[in-house]
Amino acid sequence: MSETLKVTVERPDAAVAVLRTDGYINNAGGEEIARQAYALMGGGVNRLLLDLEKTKIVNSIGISILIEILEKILDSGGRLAFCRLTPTIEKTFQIMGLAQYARIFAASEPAVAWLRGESD
Amino acid sequence: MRGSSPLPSPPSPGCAGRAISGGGRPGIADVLGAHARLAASEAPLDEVLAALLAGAGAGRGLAVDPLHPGRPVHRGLSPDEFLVSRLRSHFVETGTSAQGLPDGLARELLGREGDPRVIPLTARDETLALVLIDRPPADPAGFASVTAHAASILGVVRMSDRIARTDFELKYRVWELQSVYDVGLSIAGTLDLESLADEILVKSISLLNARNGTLVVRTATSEAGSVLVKSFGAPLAGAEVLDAIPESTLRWSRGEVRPGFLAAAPAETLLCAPIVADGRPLGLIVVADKENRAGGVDDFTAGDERLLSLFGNQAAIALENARLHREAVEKERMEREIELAASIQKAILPASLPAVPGMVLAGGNRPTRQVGGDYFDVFPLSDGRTAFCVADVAGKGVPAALLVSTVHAGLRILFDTGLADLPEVVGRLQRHLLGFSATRKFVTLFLALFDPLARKVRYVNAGHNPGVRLASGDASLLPSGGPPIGILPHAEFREASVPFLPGDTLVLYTDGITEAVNTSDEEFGMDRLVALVRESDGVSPAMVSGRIFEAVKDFTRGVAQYDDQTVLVARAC
Repeated sequence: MSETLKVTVERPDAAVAVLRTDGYINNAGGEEIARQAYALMGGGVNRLLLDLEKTKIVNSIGISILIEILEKILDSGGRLAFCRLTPTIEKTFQIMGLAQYARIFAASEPAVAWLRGESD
Repeated sequence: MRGSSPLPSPPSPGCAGRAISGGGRPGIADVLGAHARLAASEAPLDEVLAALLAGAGAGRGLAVDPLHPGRPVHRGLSPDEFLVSRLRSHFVETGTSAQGLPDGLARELLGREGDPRVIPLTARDETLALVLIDRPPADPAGFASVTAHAASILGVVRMSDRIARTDFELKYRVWELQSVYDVGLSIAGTLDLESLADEILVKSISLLNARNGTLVVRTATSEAGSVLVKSFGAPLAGAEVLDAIPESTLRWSRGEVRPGFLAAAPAETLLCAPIVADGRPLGLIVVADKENRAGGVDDFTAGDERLLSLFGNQAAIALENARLHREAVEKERMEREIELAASIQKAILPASLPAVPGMVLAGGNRPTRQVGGDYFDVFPLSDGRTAFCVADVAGKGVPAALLVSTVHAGLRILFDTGLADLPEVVGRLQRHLLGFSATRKFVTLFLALFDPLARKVRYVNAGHNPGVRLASGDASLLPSGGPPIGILPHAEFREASVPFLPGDTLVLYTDGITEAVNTSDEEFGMDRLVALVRESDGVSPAMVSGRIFEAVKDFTRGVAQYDDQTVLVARAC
C-alpha cells in the first residue's frame, strides 16, 4: 500500500475513460485524480470509471475532492462510476453521499457498460 | 459566468427617478434568477465585485471574504503579496465582523489613486464581504439597492455553503461512529491481531486526515520479542517506543520539541495515544501531519485526541481479548495434559505392594497439582530376592509421566530376564534413556535389592536422595554413588551394601518430602525426616509411611507444593 497515489488512465473507447488508482486518496491523491479527470473532461470525455482496487485508504479531503469531480461531471451531463472498492471504502462512500449520484460496481466490465448506457 | 453578471442590472445614474418609481428596479424574477445563477457560480465574490463596480460606475476594485482574507478577488488592481498579507492581518486583528479597512491600506490597495470607498456587505450582523471601489457611486440610491441585493445573494451563498459543510460534517461524524463501531465488531469477530492493527491504523489515519501513522504494541507481555509494528507511509517509530509509552494522549505542533522516542519522526505535526490494557502500557499509536484542503499541514485538535484515544482503547481491548483467549487455550491444554499425565502415572504406580520373603513393604505417592515424575516399585525375583526402588524423573506433566513409564518398563523387563546385577541394570537403563531424543530425560534412582538369605541390602543410588536406614536404633544415610541416569554417557554406578537384619528399617523417598516448604518458605529437611525414622522402632512400615506424609502435611500447612511426594518403607522381618 503506497502513501503516494498513482493514477493510470485507460480508454476502452472514445467516450469512456477508466482511471485506476494505487495508493491513498488524500489531498494530494485527490488532486491527482482531479487533474486527470478534468484533463479528460476538457477533451470531451465525461463518462469516467474510477477503479480503486489498489486503494485501501481514503480521507475526508480526498472524498470532498471526489465530490467536486462528481459535481462537475454531473453538471456536464456525464456519469461517474466506481468499481472494486474495499468494503470499508464502499461503506464510507455510502455514508458520505457519493453513492447517491455515482454508481458503485464490483467489477469494471458492468461499470463500463453502464457508462456507455448499455445497462441501467 | 464571469463577464455576464447574474445580479440585476443597476439603474443607470440618469434614471434615478424611474428607479424610485420602480421602472428601473429589478423585478422579483430578476432577483430570483440572479440568486439562482449566483448560487451556482464558482466565484460569487468575483461576480459581486463586478456588479458593484458596474453599479458605482467604478473601474477598479477588490472584494474580500473575512473568512478567507488571504484570497481577495480584484479587478483593475494587482495587489502584491505584502498588501494581501496586510489585508489578512487586518482581519486577524479585527475579527471576521470587520466593517471597514484602514484608510491607508485602502489607498495602497488602489495604488494611491482614486477616492476609495469600502462597502461592507452584511446580513444578520455578519460581514459577508468588504468591497473596495476606487470612487464613490454616481447614484447612491441605486447603488444601495445593488449592494442590498448583493448582500442578500452572498447571504444565500454563505448559507448554502454552511448547509453543505454541515451536511458533510454530519456525514463525517456518521462515518467516524461507523468506523468505531466497525472496529468493535472486528474485535468481537477475530483474534487476528495483525489484521486488527492494520484496520485500527488505517481508520485512524483516514479519519484524522493524517498523512501517515505507526502502531507499536507488545502482543505478549511475557515474551520480550513479541512486538508488532505496523506503519502506513514513512514509519514514525519503532519497537524502542515501548520503553517510553506516555500515560495520556499527546500532540505536537510544528517546531515544538518532541520527546526522544518521536524526535526523529519524519513529520511536522504529531498526535499519539497510548494503548493501555488493565493499567499495563502495551504500546502506542501515532499519526502525523493533519492535512488541509490547501495542501498544507494543520495541528491536530482536541477532538482528534479523543478519537485517537478511542482507537487506542479499542486496540487495547483487542490485545486483552487475544491475551485472555491465549491464556484460556493454554489453561485448557495444561488441564488436558495434567489429566493425561495423572492417568499415566496412576496406571504405573503400584496400587498395592506385594508380600515378599523376609521383608514388609509399605509406601505411597502424593501427587501435586502439576503431576510430577515420582516413581516407586517393587520387583519380586524368582530366586526369593526382592528389588525395590524410588525414582524421580526430570520435568513435569506428560513428558515426565512418559519417562516414568519408560523407566518402569525398562526395570520390569530387566528384572524379568533374571538380571540382578544392579550396576548392570542401571547401566542398561542409562543406555536406553540416552537413546531418547528428548532434551530433559534424566532420572534420579535409588534401586535396592534385598537378599533374605544373606540379610543384606545391596543398592545403587544414582543421584537420588540418600536412603535412611535405621538399625538397632541408629539412623544412617545411604548416599548417592553416581550421577543421575541419562546425563553422562560414561558414568559408572557404584553398588554398596548394608546389613538388613530383622527389625531394620530402610526409608526411601523423593525430594518432594525433604524439600516441602511451609508458609515461611522453610524446607521440611533431612533432620525432621531422620527424626521421624528414629521414632519408628516398633511401628509398622505402613504407619511409618503414614506418619511421614502427615508430618509433611502438618509442616506445610496448606502451602501448595511443587513436587510430588513419595515414600517407600522397607522393614526386615
